[in-house]
Amino acid sequence: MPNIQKIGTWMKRDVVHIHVSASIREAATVMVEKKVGTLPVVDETRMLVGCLSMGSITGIFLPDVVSLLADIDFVKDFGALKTPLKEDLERAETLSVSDVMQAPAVAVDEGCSLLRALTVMDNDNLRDLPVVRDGKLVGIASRVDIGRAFLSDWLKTVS
Amino acid sequence: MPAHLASMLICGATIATILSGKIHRTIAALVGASLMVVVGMGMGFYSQQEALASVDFNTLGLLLGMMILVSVLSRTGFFEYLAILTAKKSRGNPWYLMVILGSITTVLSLFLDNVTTVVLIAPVTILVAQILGISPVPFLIAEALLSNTGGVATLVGDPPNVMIGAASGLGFNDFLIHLGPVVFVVWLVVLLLLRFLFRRELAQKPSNVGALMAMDERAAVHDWKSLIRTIIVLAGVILLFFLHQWLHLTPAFVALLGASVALLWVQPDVDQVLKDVEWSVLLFFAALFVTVGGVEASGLLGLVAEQVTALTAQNLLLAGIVLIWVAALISAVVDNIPFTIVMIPVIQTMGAAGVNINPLWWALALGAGFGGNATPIGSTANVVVIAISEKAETPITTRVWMRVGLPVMLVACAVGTVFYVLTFGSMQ
Repeated sequence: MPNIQKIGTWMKRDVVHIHVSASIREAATVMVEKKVGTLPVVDETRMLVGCLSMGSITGIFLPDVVSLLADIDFVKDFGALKTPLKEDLERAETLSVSDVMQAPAVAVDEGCSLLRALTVMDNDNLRDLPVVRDGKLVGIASRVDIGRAFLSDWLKTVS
Repeated sequence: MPAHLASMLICGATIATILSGKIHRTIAALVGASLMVVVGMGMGFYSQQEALASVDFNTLGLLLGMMILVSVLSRTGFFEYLAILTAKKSRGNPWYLMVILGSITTVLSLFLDNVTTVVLIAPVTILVAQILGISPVPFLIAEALLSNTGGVATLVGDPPNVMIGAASGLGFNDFLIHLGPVVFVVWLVVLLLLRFLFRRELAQKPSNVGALMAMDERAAVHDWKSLIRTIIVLAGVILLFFLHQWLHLTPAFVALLGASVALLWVQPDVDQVLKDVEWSVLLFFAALFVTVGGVEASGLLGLVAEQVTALTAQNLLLAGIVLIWVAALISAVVDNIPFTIVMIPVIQTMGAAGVNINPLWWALALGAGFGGNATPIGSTANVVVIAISEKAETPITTRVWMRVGLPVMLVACAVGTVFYVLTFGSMQ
């Protein structure tokens, strides 16, 4: 009988991931084709060495000035900024996964409780949480996976 | 003599450390101040009470009050609103855009801190330029230079003026009358000079003018009620600045009164507002006052003043001209605050010796204010604009800065010198 309180029960075991030496273009291709927003980054032995989010790739093309303004509601049309800069496009071609990924990755052990997994995700503002056993990637759980598990567990308790 | 030597060594080492940039300037100044008090007490030339008394609370109060007011105002989106509203008037013409954004910065800098002004206007400037598909660099440099220029015109415009005002007893209107006309002429000359120096960049053809015109400045305002209230308070503060000499109010009191009224009327998140106050700057100034106060208490500054008096009493006209250019050259390569804080007691001592020091105050304000334009590190506004330009990945290089800043500084100081010579008779 598996312990339904543990994340290992609810995670996806078939993890779309990428090798640390891959290029950003390869990572983007995987994200587009497999429809995933987070790619755990592993080495040859499947050790988790980092995590690549879609936002860190799209961020290369976003105009940097936007980060300097508290809000940009007043911009209705981005004009010349709509076309990505030539420098940004060229830079994106030269980057590899290891340049852009978050390292070390935030991950939990498969024995981690659901409540702890939820707080880790909230604290680090993550959409997906890689799960490891002895440092090796064994699964991934999205916010919905964990939230669903946590809520269904709670609903059972109430009834 | 040993007291002179000790105070000079401590003050010199403190300023050298500040200028080296190896340690944060506030830490360097605090350590220098503590050391000055400890050594001063040990050698008997400086007491804790004297150290406290040497802190110019007029300067700190004025800066604190204005920082709080600006923080409350900036949270309403007013600065973005103003920048977009006026930028649209240029209809995308780069030269008009430079005149408009530059002039807004100058006017704001008359009353608000230069750094705050450029921090709030620069991001919108970059956005507008990039939407138009033109380089933001000329506009950013123009804003920093014109902000430094505007700050020279009033008692509250930049920290050297605040300090000179507090130490000399000269009022808001005295500054405006003596420095306002100079700054107006310099502003005109600098704009024309910028047009010439950036003639190639300003000839860029903007694209997407429609996108600029589609910007909705009203959407930049988060809170109209707070905006209007803060503007009313700020207008009241500026009015009181004009009247403060007649009402016998210190500028510091006016600013703090305005800050209190704004906080009461708007009731913003006080913790957030106070986070915007540049405490490290205020602490830096306070510590530097204590450090230089020790040199004064040791009698060294008096000796220096005696020597300077002996050299200059015969020819105050020449002394002022020398002061303008020395202050400008020093302010171009280092922070102008330590120089101003050292010069103030020297000039005061000369006054006590019977020299008519009024012209020297104006010379100091002109030199310290205009000098900062020359180099990327000459003023805090320059440093901040360059940092913002780097964050937006449109970096301003030292070479580009010097190509424009140095001529602007030389022309501004030349205009200042001409005014000084022409009005010297009336300053007596």
